Amino acid sequence: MQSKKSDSSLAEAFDATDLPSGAGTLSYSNLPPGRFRFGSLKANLPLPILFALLIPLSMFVESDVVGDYYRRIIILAGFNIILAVSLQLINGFSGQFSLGHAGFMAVGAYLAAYPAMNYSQHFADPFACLLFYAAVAIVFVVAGTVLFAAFLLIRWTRKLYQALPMILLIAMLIWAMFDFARASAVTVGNPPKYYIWWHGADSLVRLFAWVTTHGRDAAAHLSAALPTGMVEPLSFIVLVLGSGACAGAVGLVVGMPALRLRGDYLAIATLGFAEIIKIIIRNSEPLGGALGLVGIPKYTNFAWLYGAALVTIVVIWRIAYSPRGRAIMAVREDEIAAAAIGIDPTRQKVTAFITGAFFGGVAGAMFAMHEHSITPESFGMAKSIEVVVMVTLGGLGSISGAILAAIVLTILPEFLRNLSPTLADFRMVIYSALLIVMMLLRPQGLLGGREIWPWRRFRNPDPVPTEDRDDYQGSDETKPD
Amino acid sequence: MQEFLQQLINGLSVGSIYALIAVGYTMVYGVLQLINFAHGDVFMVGAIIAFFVGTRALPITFPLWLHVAILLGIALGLTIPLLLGYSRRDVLRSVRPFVILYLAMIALEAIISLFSRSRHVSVSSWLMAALAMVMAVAACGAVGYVIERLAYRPLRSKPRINSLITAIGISLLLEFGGQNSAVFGPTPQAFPNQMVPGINEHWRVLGVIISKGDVLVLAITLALMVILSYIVLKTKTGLALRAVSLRFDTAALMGINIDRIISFTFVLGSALAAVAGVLYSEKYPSVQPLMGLLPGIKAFVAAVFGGIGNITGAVVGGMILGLVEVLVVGYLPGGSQYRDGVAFVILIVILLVKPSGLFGKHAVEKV
Repeated sequence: MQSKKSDSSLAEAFDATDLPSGAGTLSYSNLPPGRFRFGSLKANLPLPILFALLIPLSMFVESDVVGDYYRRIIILAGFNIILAVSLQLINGFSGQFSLGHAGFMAVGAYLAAYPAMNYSQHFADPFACLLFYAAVAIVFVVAGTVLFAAFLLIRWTRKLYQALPMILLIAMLIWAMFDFARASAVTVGNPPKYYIWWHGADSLVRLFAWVTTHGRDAAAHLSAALPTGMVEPLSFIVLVLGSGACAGAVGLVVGMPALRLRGDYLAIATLGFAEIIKIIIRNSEPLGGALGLVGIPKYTNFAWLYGAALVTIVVIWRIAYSPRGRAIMAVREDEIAAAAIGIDPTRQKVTAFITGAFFGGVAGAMFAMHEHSITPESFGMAKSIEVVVMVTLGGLGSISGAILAAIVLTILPEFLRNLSPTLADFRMVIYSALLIVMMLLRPQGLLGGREIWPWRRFRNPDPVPTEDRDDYQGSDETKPD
Repeated sequence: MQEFLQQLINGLSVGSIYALIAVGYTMVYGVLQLINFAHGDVFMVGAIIAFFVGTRALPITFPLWLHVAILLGIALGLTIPLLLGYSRRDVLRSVRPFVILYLAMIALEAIISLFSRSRHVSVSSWLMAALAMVMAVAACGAVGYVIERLAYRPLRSKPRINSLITAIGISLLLEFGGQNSAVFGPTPQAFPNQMVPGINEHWRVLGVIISKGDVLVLAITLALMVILSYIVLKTKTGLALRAVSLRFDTAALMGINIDRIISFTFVLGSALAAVAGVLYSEKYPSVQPLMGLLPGIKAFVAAVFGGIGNITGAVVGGMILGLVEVLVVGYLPGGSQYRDGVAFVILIVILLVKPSGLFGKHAVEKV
């Protein structure tokens, strides 16, 4: 990389002060280093007002004025807002078309429901939940390190022979499958020593059990020391954030390989990952298998849900319309050009992906603790597609559009159901036909990359994806690399 | 060993069904660089049409709504393109096969009602099976044409992400439309596969049980592949198709009518999907509106595995996928639970290690 001085000639052309410049040094602010700027009062004023508004609003929604039916629709709209806004960061801002958001939601839901049922003792033990996530993190890091090292080793064999990594990888997968299957079928509990994969998985499970059993008493003591009023909300927050972090970690695992692909391939790969997550959950005994988990304690209510939605919106708005968001959008516009001015495309894409996955997991956790039971089928392809439809209808690259579309598309099927009984049968048909008509007549979505309140937006008044511009010639080399 | 051979035949027949669907994906991708998400649902439409033909309508008459629907389709197919400004000759020429097909349908009805005495009973006859197949192929060809015409052609100059969304929309429309109780209803129904004579019988060769159904599937696939390769390699349309998939705009400069070739690709691919749908539901006799999802995605995996855009690759990929799936189910204890996961694992491994697939060319992106 060049020095700062040669960058300065580019600064005017690219507004480079906001973009990462130079090797390793990121200057995300146009202020001199060392000074931290709080957001301007005008920009931040709506937030406390909105949070304060939640309390009377929740009192209204929880009261008898709003019936159960309407309350349920409002709550569903809340989940959809979180999902749509978080997917907007992935699909709209970073331009990576992900079709697997329900997979992250499933991870969040199951990894919140399981400790909520088995560890939290009806939200009385926040530190036990924390312990659960710590144990998950330890297992994740250990397994991840081993697998990553193996992957690097296998990749190195490409130098010996071009196709060797593929052969080795497939051989390893087949070996692992047979190993697991034989070990679990022949000798339950005590298989012979040479079943390497089985033993690897077994020791991971034992590590997890060891951490949770040995830390449980300490966790209970710590929780007992907390003031009683704090215990329940704290458990809930730990559960939501912990399962969100788990979903983020899964997002990392999915994103690292999948983000090398582009366009349709990425869509299919993420869909595949989401299906694999679903199949794993369906076959795992502690998570209830195909029957799902029943009897999850309920805690999510209007205030918590819409509070989380607000936080999601604020965080993603701040990311999207910050210099980092500009870097993310630069990658969406043109990966090669972005790389040429010093943006690491993979890093930006993975950041967006992990953030989106995190909030997807948060939505899932809230969903699990709102419903009495969850099954793997509630996080299928249909759910992913529903969220993608929301994002696209709202307009790719528009947070307010995603919110609007999430609300409209939650209400629309119910509205059609209430309109007339004959229409009720056709409501999903109308819904999908509407999607097609919308795409044909207004392909850029409801808001088309704009925001309703464009404050703190770019100096560039109208960020339009390159492919949408009138003078876009189209690229011939659209095949994957 | 005998068991292995049996599994092999089973795997090949499953694989050939995947191959038939995958060819449609790969051809459309070849000409448009677009994943036709609705392709799996076209497969479902084929199966459902064959179900209707096999159970409700025949052997006496087709139901009234079918006549109405087809006539309406022909009428719309005549008027809408004319209103949109296509020349009368082109319109007439493109509608002609459907008119001929409808006339053939009426003729068949007459013949069957002359020779048949039973009403609403699924009889075992090759004529019935062939009729179901022909009807499914015709209907799906029409569906494929309409999908391309209404949903993809207006968006061809727009970013591909929009086409992807409309494709998803079409897919949802077909699924929800099928789930509507006025059309099919959400519950799975038994496919009348006994209309193919001897479908449930089997031969015993050297101790290996060979199901007649599997042989039928393999034979039909083989025949279709021969026909397909003849079309693609020897006919003028096939030459145009290859030219369009090689380079879109240059093909247009050479005087090729791109719209026609793309429509042809969609019709051809959808027809193959219809055959696959009928064969699949003869093999696994249960029909429902969501049945196209998984086979569709698996066939897509097969197409990617073989190198998308490459027809040979799609066939080979489909066969390998079918084999692997059947072997996993057959030889892994508890493997049947992971049956649907196999395809996704293969997909992800392939995308990571060799995204261009087995036969695909490595395309380097230029600035």
